[in-house]
Amino acid sequence: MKSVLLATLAGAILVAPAALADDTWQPDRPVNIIVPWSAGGSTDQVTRVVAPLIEEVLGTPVVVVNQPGASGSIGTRAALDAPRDGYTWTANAIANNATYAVTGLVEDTDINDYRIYLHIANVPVVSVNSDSEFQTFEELVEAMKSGENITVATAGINSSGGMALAAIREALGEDIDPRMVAYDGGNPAVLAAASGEAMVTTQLASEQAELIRAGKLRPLVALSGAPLEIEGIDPIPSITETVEMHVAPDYFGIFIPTGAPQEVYDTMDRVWQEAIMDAPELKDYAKNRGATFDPAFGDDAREKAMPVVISEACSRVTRGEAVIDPSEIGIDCPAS
Amino acid sequence: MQGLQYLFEGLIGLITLTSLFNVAWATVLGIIVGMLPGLTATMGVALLTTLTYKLPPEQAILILLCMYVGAIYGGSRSAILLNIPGTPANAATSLDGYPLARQGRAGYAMAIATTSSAIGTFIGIVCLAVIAPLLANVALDFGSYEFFWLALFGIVISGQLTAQGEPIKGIIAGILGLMVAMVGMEGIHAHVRFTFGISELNGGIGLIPAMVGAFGFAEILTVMFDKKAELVSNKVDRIFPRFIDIWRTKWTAVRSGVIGTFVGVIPGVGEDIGAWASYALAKRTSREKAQFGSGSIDGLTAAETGNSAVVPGALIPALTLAVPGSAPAAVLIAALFIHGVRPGPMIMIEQPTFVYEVVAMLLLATIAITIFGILMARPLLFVLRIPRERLMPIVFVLCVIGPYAITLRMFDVVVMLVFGIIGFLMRRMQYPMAPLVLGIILGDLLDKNLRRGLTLSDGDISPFITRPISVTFAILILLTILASIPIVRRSITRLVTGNRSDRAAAEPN
Amino acid sequence: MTRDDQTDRSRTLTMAHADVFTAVVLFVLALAMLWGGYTMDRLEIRRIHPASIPGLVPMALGVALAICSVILFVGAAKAGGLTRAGLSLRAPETRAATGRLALCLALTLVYPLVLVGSMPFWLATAIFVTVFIAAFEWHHRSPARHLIALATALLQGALVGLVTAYVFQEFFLVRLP
Repeated sequence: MKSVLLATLAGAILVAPAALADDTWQPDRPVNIIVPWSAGGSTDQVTRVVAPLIEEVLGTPVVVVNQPGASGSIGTRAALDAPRDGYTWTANAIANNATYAVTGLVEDTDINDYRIYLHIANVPVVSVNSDSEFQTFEELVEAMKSGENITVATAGINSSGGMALAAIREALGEDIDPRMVAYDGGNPAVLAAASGEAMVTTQLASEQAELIRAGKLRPLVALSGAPLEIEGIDPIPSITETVEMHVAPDYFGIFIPTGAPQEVYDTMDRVWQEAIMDAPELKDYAKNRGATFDPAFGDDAREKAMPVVISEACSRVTRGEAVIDPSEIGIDCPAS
Repeated sequence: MQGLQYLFEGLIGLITLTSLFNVAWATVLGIIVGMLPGLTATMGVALLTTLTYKLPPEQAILILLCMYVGAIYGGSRSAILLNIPGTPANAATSLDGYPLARQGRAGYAMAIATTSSAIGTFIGIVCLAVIAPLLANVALDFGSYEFFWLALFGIVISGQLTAQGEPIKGIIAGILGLMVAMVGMEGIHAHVRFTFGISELNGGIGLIPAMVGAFGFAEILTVMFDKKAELVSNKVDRIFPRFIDIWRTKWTAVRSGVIGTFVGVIPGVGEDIGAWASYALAKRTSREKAQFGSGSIDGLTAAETGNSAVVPGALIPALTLAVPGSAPAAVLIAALFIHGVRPGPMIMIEQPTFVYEVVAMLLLATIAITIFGILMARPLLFVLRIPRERLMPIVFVLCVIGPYAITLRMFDVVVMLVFGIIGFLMRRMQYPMAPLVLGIILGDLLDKNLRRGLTLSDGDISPFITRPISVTFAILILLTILASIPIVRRSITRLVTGNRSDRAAAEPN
Repeated sequence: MTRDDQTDRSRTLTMAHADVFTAVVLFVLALAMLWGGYTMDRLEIRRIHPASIPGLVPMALGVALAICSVILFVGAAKAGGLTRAGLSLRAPETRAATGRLALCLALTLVYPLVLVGSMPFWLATAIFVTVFIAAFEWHHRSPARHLIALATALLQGALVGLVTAYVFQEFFLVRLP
């Protein structure tokens, strides 16, 4: 915390003359958005839709940089370690950034390290290779329960797919043990399932949409409250029809580490309001990819994000995967 | 043809004042780096990566490619004039280039070297444009098992072919590189390995600082350690190439270009081997065998075409598999990552235009070496007169500031120093450097895909040896290792009485 | 390989000796890697697949390097690496080279580790370049020209220091130490 404070001070001193002249932030060089996943994954896709929209209003190049590896923690760490001058942002699912400390992948970080700008909520889908013997989710569950070896491709323990798998396992009870195989990002994981290297994937609908449309993957259930509609595909049944479980919307967005001069955040609030809150490009993207367009920023965004953050953090505890108590970073789990 | 259209668009996109200016200075700088003994292409690319870090990705990559092409060509100058190859790639060039210079035909030799380099690069570029998309397509079928073998194959073959004496030293260098890659957070479970509590090591050891050390600082130490080289030939005759000479050596050039490209594709086997391989073949098939070693035009053509064709060849696996074909290509891969380009099988799907942009950039670089090589032949001679005492401290200042500029951490400067000293010691003990570089860049690929494959198969190793592509790689690796066992090697040599003596002085750059 | 030349023979001997020494160092490194991989966290708490433990590849590399170092040792021992070392290190030429190397190492280590950081970057660079040139050119020049050598060294040093500092700060926007 002390270093953050120092960085804030240093940042404030460095940018002070500019701040006096005008309270609008005018970047003098390109802004980098670190996507801590490989190219083609859900975060990468949507961030590449969002970046040009911001670029247009902000008036400076916004460059998307992929820094994948280790469940997104390598890129996230890089974003947090970068100078807090407002020029390095990160893009991810908020549940990841808020719980990296709980899984121990990035130490000493929580949701308060960022100002949050959300755009869409994504839905994980359980799919199998189209040549697979499993026609329905029940058959898949049956196979898992009978002790068959089921390999599940995800982008890692702390990715949306990894969390979805963990949630399913928890809902089904402890007697199943699907084998999670970690890839560098959603796209490689989905491709692995489509090529038959892994049997199942639990990555996001947005990452699978094209391969489902192409007939390479067979969607079984969606982890959403209602059946999932994607353009050009039959509605995917909701998992709640088969298994009793709670599903919180998985929000995605762009996060700017705190500690930069205040006008950075003020300017970005305005940019988000103008460029994103009503963007037809994002609406199309959501419809096409099976995501929900639900933008927000600042405190609103934080409020929207909390259910999925709490749900993820606390399920880590119940599964014994947490290395610290979530209450240490201000997440209180309901007594169970 | 979609490809031709992309290529055309790529070329049009590069015809801007900024791009052409960058091509000009980067190529000339590349030629100078190549000319100066001790400054290699790998070091030039690594150092320039740090200096172009803040430029737009397209311009930065353009500059790095021009540096690479320029340096491999520039090395021929010192090979001809000093009898010292400017980069290890030009060792074969000096065999016939220097005798020509002694006969007072230095300008003529430089002209032949220029056209040969241009032709070699051009042949390689054509192969790159044709093969890369096909290879990317094949590589889409690669799964975890195949990528594991590919990484291992790269290390083994590079270790075997680049070692000067015993192949075991090449393999050891490769293993050491892999060990370096083990440091930091691993890519499957995000577990932090071998950092000994140093938080700067969490992200692993950066390839660029390590390479600036192993190829920059280590070379400074080597140059200051060795005795001084003297410029022998000052007189330069006509430097414009004659068409008749090009026509006379056309088959040698085409054959050497194809061999060079092929050698470039082999992981971690670089320009030097490309030159030696084409030289050896040219010697065996030439009508003027007796001339070889005392100023043969055929020999000079083969050596320079061979090493230049390796450059685009080495980029083929670098772009489509993320497996570098040579040491400078390894540094280029790291640079691409820094600039947000992710080489690998997906490149033709995610960024279908990129391969063709690279082709367009290489074409510009080829034109640039031809123009500057001929026009600036005389002014460039002055470069060879710069005393090392004056030059080396400047190079070292850049070696210090370069790694610092990327991450703003003094830690990376320390990494540079450590790798410089290790690199110097390894070089003195005749360990090749290319497998080390390859190990550092392939360690992650090897580690992740082995463990991912084992998870998929539930600890069963059979998919590693039953899938068709896997088993091919496995057999290739086995054969390579078998061939290095002295008894086996001797019997093979008896069977194919090949001319291996030419390779004796080969050293990777 | 011809063994009739005396210098050639002593050279080969030195390389074999060096190989014996490195083989031992590499063997120790291999054991350390093996041990490091073996004792590495198996992450049982996260219920990962036992074949995907982080220590797997380090252990394999340790074994591979151990084998290689044994092969290297045997080869070097056969080449005479276990006999007493020749006197080649005392040759005057090697001695001068070693001297140059030591001087070069000293200068190149002091500059980034001591000078940079304790004073402005341009000054540190100027001092380093000047001293480097002066130290190495001293022997080549006649005493009468020492002053000229020193002056040109100083000029180049100041120039390099100022230009690099300016270019990196203004064009590459690097915050220099």
